[in-house]
Amino acid sequence: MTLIRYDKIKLSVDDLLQGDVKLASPPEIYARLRQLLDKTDSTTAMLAEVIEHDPSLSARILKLVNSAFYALPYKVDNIIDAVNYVGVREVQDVVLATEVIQRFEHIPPDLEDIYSFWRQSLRCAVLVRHLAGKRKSTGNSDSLFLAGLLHRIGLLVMYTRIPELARKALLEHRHRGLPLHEVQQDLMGFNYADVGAGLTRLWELPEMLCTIIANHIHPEQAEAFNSEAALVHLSLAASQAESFEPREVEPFLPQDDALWESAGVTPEALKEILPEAENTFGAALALLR
Amino acid sequence: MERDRDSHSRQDHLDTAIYVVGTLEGKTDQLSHWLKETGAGQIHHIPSLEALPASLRAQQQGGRNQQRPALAIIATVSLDEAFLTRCQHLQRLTEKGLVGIVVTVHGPELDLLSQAAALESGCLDVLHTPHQQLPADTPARLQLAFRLLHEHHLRASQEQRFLDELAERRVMEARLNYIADHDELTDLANRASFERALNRTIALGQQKQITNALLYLDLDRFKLHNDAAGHISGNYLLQVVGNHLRHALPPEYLLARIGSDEFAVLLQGSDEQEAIAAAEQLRAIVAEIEPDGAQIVYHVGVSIGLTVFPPGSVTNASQALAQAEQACYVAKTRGGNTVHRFSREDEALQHLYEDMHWALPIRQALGGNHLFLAYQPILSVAESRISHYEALVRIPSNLGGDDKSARFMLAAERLGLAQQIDLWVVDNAIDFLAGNHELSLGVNLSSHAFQETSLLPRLQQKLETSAIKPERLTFEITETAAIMNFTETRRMIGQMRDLGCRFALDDFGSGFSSYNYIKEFPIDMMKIDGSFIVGLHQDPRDQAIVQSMIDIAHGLDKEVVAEFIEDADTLGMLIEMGIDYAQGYYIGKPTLSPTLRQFHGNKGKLQ
Repeated sequence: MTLIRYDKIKLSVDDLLQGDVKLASPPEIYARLRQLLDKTDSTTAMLAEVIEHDPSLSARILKLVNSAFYALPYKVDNIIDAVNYVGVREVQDVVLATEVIQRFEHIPPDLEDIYSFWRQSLRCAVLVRHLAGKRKSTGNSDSLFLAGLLHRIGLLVMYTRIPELARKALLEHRHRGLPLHEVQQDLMGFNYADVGAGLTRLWELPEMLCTIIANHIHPEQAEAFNSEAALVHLSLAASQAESFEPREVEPFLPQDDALWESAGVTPEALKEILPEAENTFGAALALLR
Repeated sequence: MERDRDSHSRQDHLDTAIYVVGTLEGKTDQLSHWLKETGAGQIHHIPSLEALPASLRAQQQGGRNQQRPALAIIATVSLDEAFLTRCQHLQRLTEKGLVGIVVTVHGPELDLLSQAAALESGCLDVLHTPHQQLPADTPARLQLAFRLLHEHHLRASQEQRFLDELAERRVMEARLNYIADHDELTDLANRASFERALNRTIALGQQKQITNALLYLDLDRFKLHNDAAGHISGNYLLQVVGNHLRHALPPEYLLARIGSDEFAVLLQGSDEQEAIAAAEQLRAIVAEIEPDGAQIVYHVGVSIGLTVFPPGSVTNASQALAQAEQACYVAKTRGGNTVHRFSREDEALQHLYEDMHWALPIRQALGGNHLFLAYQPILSVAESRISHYEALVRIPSNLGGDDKSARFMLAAERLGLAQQIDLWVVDNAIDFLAGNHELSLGVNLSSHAFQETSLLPRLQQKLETSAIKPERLTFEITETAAIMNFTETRRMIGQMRDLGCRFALDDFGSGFSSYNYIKEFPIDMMKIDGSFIVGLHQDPRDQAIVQSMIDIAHGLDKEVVAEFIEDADTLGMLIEMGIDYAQGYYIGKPTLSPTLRQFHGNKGKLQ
């Protein structure tokens, strides 16, 4: 397929990421937590101190920790307890998610309604989180929620760095019904998954997360974490539905048996988790507000 | 950022994180002391080389611009290969932050070869401590290591900055290129990039013997929509139309917005049948865009011009576009919401060609004052002499004109040049009258003459300065022109007649106008349309009509002129019928030197 008759755009993912020093640095509080965690002598109190430094971030974390998302049997009212109850990893993931959401707050509405964008990503994240529990063999579940949430982060980079080209791709996608990643590939020579993987690698996020983001469109092409990428792919497909109603989700589910096989789950399993996912989703919305 | 390194070297040390790795056999205190003397900042003690990477990473994770250089002072017993490999690995670990390594070797001997190998591996210095003692020149050598580290750091960060800037420039360039090639409103290709693609397609078609087609789309009533609903709604409408077109076309057809409300589609490899199908589809799609009551207030349609160009039929983009645009023009003249295929034989296009042919000669003649007047005699039946002429404007043949006709006037009207010609004619007619006191003149005004606000004042002033009798000047306007803008025309004619000029209605009978208009119209004469005169003596019906026209004119107290009189019989018959003036080749052809003279032809009938 060739969409473009005029001169090809000469641009690389690196150009997009490198040219923007701010973008090239990982979210600040997340990075500071990681720095602390790399040290042997850091304590929960030290971690909590870093988080508490940002009151709105702390509030969001507490809100989420106290929600049905974790369904803890007791109320948590400080970050130290939050870290102790849900774990350092989880808290670190929530911090990253929150900071990323904040960083891309100012996407012009004519490109994308950022709230709907995150709502859909969050649906995907929640689905993948629950779906992971249904796998036949328990694989690596760390970062799956994040992968579900951040799989389209490359799109946000495109909106910020090359808004005109991103808009063109969106229009072609919407009005010609071509897959967005194909239009982007044709227009720019790379797609949002490439950009997302590039960014998360630059931020030195866990390798599995980067690999899933890179390969969630074509999980079969992944050199590692195929199963996890397939899981995100399926959740992404299911998240296209506007609700968690099985009847509405059904039409969006891929027919590709190999894909389900690779993910280690069945369409039935996916339909089973929908009610819980809906519940979790309602709670996870705390991340967006 | 560039700083004076010499005067700030102490400051540099403070920016550097220092790692003392391994046990220096009790010399740590001495080393720390010296480091402090050189002004170094925080010193981290790391028990073993294995723990260093984690500490370095922890220090480096603060975003790219916050990274500081680090100096690692590593104690070892031997400079073996394994050790040096680890040193190299360390340096790669933090590419942007940069780590400098100074090695202290306790071994009894330090051969030059392994020392060289260490420096080769990127170590800044090798201190030999055979007797459990740091060399005496250690402070100076540390100083030097700092200096070197900072040189490297500076170079690395400059390099990085340069790469960042380069990347940013590529991003800007890509955006600018995109913007230059696209229409901002619809995000479709713009005219420039479309023409480029079209040129490429034409060349390729020629090379590979492929037939291509082009559609030129012009929205119907867009201006009306814009005026009525405002340009913001207009822009919205254009976006909607753009998206509908985009939706309808397969991606391999290039769609562009090439003008305010004009779109174009390049159909690569399409023959006539495919192109017509595509055009019809697009026409239907735009016609189906419903007014939404808010932003889109009118039903819009689209006129589509289509041209199919087999290899070799066009040589460049502007030719192909001109064909499609002309076809679109025809589609427009047929009422819009139509598809029309380009053909060289289109009648409407003949006008266009004619206009194109005349545009330059008319402008040249006007600009260089090369127009001239020819005078056709008009016979006064009562006086049987010629004292009256009709002035006819001409373009000289050397400018591409035709001495015998005023065909260019139609083109001039379409080109909007008629008013200027009118002014020229009025000026020159009055000059002529001023120099020929015994003659009167009829002058044709174009249908747009009365829209020219300077005509009346110009006429008034010219009449005053030349001091001719205004009644010697008769303006002729056609019936169709007079009716077109009835009230305004009547007012203007009234004002010009107030100055004393006379008015004739030209081509009377050609426009089927109601006698009611004639009754109301402030004119002095009527010129019977030539079509009734040419076959007059053979056609009793024409005779009946002409007779009635003469009677009516006389009944309204207006004089009658008959044109196109080509023989004596016709003249005789018209005189019988009672005309006041006669004109035609039989009376005389247009001449450049008119004179007052008697008319002797057909003597018998003239009393």
